[in-house]
Amino acid sequence: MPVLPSDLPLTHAPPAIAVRNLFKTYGQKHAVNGLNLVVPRGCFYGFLGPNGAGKTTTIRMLMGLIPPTSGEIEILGFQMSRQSLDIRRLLGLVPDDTLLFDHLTGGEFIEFVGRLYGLPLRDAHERSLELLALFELDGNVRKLIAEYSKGMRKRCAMAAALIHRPQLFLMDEPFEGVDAVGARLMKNILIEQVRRGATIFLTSHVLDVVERLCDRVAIIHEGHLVVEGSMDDLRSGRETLEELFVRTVGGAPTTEKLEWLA
Amino acid sequence: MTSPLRAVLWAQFRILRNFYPRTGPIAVLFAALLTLFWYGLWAGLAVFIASVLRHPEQLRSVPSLNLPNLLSNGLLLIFAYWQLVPLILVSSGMSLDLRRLSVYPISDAQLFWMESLLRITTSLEMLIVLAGLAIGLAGHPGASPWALVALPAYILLNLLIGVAVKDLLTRLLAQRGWRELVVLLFVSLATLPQYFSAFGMPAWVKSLLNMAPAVWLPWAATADLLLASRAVWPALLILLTWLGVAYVFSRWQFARSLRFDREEVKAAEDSSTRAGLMEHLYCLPRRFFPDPLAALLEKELRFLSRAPRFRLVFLMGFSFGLMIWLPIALGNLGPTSRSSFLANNFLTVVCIYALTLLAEVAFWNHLGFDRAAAQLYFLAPISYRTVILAKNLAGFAFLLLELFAIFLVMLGLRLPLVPHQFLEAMAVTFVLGLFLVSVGNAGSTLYPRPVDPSQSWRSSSAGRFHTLLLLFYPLASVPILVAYGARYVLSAKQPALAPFAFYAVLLVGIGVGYAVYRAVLEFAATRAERDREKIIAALSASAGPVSA
Repeated sequence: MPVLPSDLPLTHAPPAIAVRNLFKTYGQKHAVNGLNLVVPRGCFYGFLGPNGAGKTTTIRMLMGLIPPTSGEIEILGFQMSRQSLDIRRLLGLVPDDTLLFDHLTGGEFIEFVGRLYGLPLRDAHERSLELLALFELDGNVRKLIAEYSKGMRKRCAMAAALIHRPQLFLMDEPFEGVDAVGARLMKNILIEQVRRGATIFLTSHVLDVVERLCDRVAIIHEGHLVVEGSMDDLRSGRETLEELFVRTVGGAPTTEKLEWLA
Repeated sequence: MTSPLRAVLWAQFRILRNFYPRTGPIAVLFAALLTLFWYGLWAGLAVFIASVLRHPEQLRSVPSLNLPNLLSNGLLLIFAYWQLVPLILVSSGMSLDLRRLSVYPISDAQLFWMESLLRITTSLEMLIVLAGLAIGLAGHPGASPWALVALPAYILLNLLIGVAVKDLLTRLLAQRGWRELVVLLFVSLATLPQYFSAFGMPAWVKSLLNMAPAVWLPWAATADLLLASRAVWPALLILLTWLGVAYVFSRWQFARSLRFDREEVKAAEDSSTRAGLMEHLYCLPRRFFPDPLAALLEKELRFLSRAPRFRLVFLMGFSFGLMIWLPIALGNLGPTSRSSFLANNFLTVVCIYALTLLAEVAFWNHLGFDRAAAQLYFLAPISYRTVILAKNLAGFAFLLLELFAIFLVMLGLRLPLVPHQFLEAMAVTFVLGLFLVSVGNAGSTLYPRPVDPSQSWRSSSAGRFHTLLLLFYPLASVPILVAYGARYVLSAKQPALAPFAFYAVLLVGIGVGYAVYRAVLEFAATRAERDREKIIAALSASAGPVSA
């Protein structure tokens, strides 16, 4: 096992995520266009952008799901191009829900993920039961993931992401479709994880949640990073995050109306 | 610590355990019986091989029989079956869902070996045969102890090559242009034995094969090791070299598949998409049908023609079908040959084969492909009957195009084609299609299964439905068999009346087929409205770590 970056003194620890000159090109289009980003350790980081801005492409490259066209990704001090297995051991992922296995029950899926992360069988089983209870998914343990609501699927994915106590969470829209009670539960758990020193990198369209939770925020637009900074700095002009977001990436105001829609 | 392999197998077992209690016991029993029957046949062959090898005196009664050569050719057949059957069935068998598993801390090497083991599923039959061979050799006086190394090494070689072929093809088939080219290439290769048997083998091929025994080939080296018929060390070196080359090649292909980004390929295709003649074809339905039927039909035509799986099958219909049956039609077959029926009815056979292939993607599981649209069908103010009708019309439109493609290729190749054959092929295919589309409407409603249309090399319908099809096919063929029977009987006594009788029976078949179609359409529409929640849930489900 390599020496984990977290075992080093904080001053020497490399950032949780360091992205240098990252490109992802699809045909003629740059989905991610020369992105540079540093996410400090122990930070709650919001990665925002309008639809099609390149958020999901970026997070998928960070997860190792797709290779970048060019550029470097360093996660917790490991190079993605050479040490992807070391990186994967340290990540907790809440990807889009297509990565769940629908014909498993929630408990089975969480246990399965635990075993893939190398947990002993008994630990994986016990932790899966505890996580099911924590995320209030233990009402019907025989229920298949296919029968879960969208919010339950997100909770299940987050429970699975926690099972091996990762150092960095990569989350793609973790609150999408989650009800207020579930969202509160998830937020509290995430805050706890940051307190213990983990880093959270999430994309979300729920700007007020990002505003309340995140220490730092980056806004990406058409593959470029357009805003990056601490939440305090960004709010210093008494502008809400939503106002900043719309000002930064919003389109021109609509001048023509559809007559038939009136 | 638990190994990822154990975790994946455990998860897959759980998925099967969770899934099967939700299917009807009759369907499970039927599937089990058919599985038993199929593998029973192969087990019978294995027992035969074991018995022959254990009693070699039986072989001595066959003149000029050379056991090492026989073994070498047998191993070649096993290799061919293992590697070609998935191609012929356009199905990659069970394989890891790398997209899901690649985010977890499983090393590339572990994923590779898991994938290699899964190649067993494409040819369990060959393992049964090899088991028979191993048992037979255990009792054979001439068997060599090196068999203990040679047989596992030969199995491993097949698994490794299977991984390489699957990965290479999966990536190539994901790319438009390459996909069509690769299919034609492999189809041509697969039909070579047919051509050789019909037209004779070219001299250079003969000389290549007559380098007998071709000791440098893996099956020959394996056979040498099994019987120690030649020096052991060279054979061992040859086999290990093949194994090494296969390992390096398959690891390379697997690594490329792991890094393969389907979206990138798709984006490149999208940027080169041109709206041309096809756009006019897509808009044809609005001239003949009212909305919403026309709108649904146009959507189906666009969707199917853009789905890689459908495009591949459509291409195979008029390429593979022609190539595989062409040698029989053109070959030097005498009138007394058992194949003369096939030669006389070549066009009809090719058309039925094309129909069978198209049915897989257009009839059997018509909701599975566009599962995202399934919810819309139930929510929009349209009757579900109209949806099914649109899907069936689209299926028949493509079938018609497929038949014309066959005729055009035949004309292009200057193959003998007389008008009555054209008419006969169309009529027979239409009658069979009418029955099959009814079966498909029922099956699509009763056994909906989510399918990724971008996956060219995957089966599209539910396994249970496939087993039931074995029952339905003979039933659907009854009118055609009766028509041919009537023509055969009359051709001896009143030849002038024979064609009329043939088409009269087919007309009755169309009548019965239409009645069946109407009844099944009503049943499927009513059932779909009733089970809409179940259907949407089934179509929303995704597979496990291993997908079939």
